[in-house]
Amino acid sequence: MTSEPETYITPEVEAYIGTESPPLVSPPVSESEIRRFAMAAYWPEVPPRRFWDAEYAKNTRFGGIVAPDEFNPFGWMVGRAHIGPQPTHIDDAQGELEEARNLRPPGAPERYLYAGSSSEYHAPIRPGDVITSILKFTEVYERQGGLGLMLFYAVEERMTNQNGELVRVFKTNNILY
Amino acid sequence: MTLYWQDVEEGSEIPEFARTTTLMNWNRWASVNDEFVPMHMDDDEARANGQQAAFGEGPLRYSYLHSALREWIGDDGDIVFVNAQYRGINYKGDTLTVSGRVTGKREENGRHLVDVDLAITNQRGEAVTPGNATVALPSRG
Repeated sequence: MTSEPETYITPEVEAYIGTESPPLVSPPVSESEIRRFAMAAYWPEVPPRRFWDAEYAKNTRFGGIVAPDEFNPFGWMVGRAHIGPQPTHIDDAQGELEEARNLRPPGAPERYLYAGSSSEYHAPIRPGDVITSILKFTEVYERQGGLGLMLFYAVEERMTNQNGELVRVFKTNNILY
Repeated sequence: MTLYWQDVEEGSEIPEFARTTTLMNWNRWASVNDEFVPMHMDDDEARANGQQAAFGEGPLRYSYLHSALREWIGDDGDIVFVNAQYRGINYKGDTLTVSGRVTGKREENGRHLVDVDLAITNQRGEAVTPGNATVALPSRG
């Protein structure tokens, strides 16, 4: 068994705060994608009509279909967004982008826990939108816990649409131990 | 029916939103959130990683918090902010119930806001996902 260091927050980790990922740009969001997301989220019950019935949605204040607030526009891409452990890469280009977007403190332990998240919502996502995501490593601290020395860190994701409007600020709280 | 800001009282509870979750929910979620993590799909993989069995995705619970808010506020309200902590594990067959209580009302930059404490509790009474949220509602007059 390897011995635990006294601290994971080295000068390299301190210097890592503020690091931003390369942008990830979604393909245009489709109505069908929104419907499927809503179906999965509400399964086995029927989701609200505004997520899948264009006629109904026309008469809401949105004037058309909008996505559920927490909708993920980055599923099934060649270069995917992700946080946390992930499966096999499809190809090298995807692997490089994923690696660049996996903002982890340098030299930290491998075992990962997803501790929590928060979201601020702004412009809704609509069919046809192209969403850009940039991640930023914003915060790090450590604590002794039941799993030994644990490193806590936060990553903030800013999503904007093709008009430059802010769509969402999504923060994840993560633990490595 | 529209829920107006004036109709909400501090201390009141939001309608409960419940789902009994199995692979039917988790695999659908994995497919739309691109979350094909072996521990969420396969008992053997989960056991190899120190868990009792396959377990549900944290982001699905996060989504349930949103759905509970949407069922409450309807088409005319907006979710402004949601925060959640993932504490317990969601095993197969668990019934997850979202509950919420209004903790405050305020006006900010012309928006009529309501703050809510949220919790997801399983059928054993364990609070697996404490959280809180802010919604914006239409105002009468």
